[in-house]
Amino acid sequence: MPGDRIDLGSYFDWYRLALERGWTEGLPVSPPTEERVQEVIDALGMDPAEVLGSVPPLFGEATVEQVAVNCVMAGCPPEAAAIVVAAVQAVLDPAFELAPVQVTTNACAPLVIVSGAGAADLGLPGGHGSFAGQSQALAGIGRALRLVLRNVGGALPGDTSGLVHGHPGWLSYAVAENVRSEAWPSFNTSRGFSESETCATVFFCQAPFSMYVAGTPNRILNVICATLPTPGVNMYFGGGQMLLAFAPKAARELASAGYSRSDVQDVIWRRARYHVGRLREADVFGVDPHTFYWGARRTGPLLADLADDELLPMVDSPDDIHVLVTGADGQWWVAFCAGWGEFGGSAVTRAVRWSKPRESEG
Amino acid sequence: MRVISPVPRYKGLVVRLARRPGTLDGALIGVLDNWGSRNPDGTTGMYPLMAELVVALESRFKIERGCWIKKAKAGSPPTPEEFSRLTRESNVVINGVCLSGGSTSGSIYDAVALETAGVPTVTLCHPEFENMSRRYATALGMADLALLVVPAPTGGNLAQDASSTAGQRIDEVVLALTDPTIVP
Repeated sequence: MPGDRIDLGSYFDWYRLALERGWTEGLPVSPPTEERVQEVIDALGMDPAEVLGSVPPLFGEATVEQVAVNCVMAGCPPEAAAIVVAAVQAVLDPAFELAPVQVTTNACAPLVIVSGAGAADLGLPGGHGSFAGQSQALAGIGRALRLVLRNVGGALPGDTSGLVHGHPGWLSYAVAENVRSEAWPSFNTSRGFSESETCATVFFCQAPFSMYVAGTPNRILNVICATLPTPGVNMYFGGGQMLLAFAPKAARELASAGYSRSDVQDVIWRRARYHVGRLREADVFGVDPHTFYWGARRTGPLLADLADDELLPMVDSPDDIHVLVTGADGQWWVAFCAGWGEFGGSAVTRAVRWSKPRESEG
Repeated sequence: MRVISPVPRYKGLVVRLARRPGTLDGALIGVLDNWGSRNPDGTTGMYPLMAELVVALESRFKIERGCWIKKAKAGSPPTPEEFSRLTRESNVVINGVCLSGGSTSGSIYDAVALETAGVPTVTLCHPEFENMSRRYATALGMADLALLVVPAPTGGNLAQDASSTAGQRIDEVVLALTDPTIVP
């Protein structure tokens, strides 16, 4: 069903209307005129009436036209809109569990990870400030997805969403892979896609927490493994998945010492563990200890019965640790983004379907 | 300047509640539990307030314990097999708990699905999530969904006060599951 048409006098009439109707949190949004929306639809080469799915919590239908409208409002350039469509398809995949994701109290937001051949083509900065939206396309992609979730799905904190804090990524949360890092094959390959494709992965996660990991490969891994397993992070309560975003310098250091991406996942999974004795010493088990550690909620022994030297995993398997290379060369940073745990928002990837073939994709 | 609204026209669903039985005598009481508890022997048990509500119903009516489903994920529906078992082996259901955003979404979705399948359902909800529960139920077409708004346990002790809360609130549970006037 085509969206309602509204006649307005000026940009400021539009912006006032958008604020009154709650179509933006407050940031300015571009007016989605019929002409601008048509430009996006033309770039997509899709039927504007095509329904991508129903978006909770209010179950509005995400048509291609509705997505295009929100792309225009977000300032997303028409040539990047195909990435937004892929991201919308990813969040609508049942594996993403969008219904609880849209309304949780947890301070996560859907992060769009753009990886593979097309990222650099579009001028998406996988280098300096890669999480900081340093291009119209990257900022627009993250913002467009947020506006679709807000305007089509109706997720409004304090009304239909229980969000307690959130984080600034609620406004726009997107990151591009550094395709020139020369550390490991593209992130695409760890998601079952080829390097030559362009992919959008959506992962529901907290804001990046940057760890300084300078040193030898061993020290890089030691710092990560000693820093992560703390009882306040989502992984203690929820398990699920996490993202480690390596700056190229740290990734290359590991790669040159022979560590593949899966080696890194495996080492971190085996060594970043909760130490029962330290948890006991810190008195964090609580009245109902089963409640608070994900593994103990399922089956197995009660935490109170475990010996001090037992080690508890943060997540179920090494595959639940996503390893991305992004950011600039300058220093040895690794950003940790905690997912929401087993409750929803696990990473889902879609290949971007361009309306015209791109040279970079061969 | 002509702009296109970024908001779709929502469907405006209206779904009727299930017919109420009039009395709970002879009823099979089902429980759809998103949280559960761990027993001292390590096995998984029922969420304490739900367990106490079942005990309170047993003290008043000749009921039978029907199906208890402990969901794998609070925010997601039970499996189709679990749902089918629940509707087959229960005449009424105690559902919940809406104690976070995700569990609210999951429990309200489940309650609407159960009512639509003809099973009267009451959903436990913490006060912080009452408004969200009602908004979500309305979006799913069931604005008059029965909620039992109960205070959150303090200090993470789920068993605390469960028995006295059940005793104090059991009349509301009975009314929600039996009052024929609840169905317009």
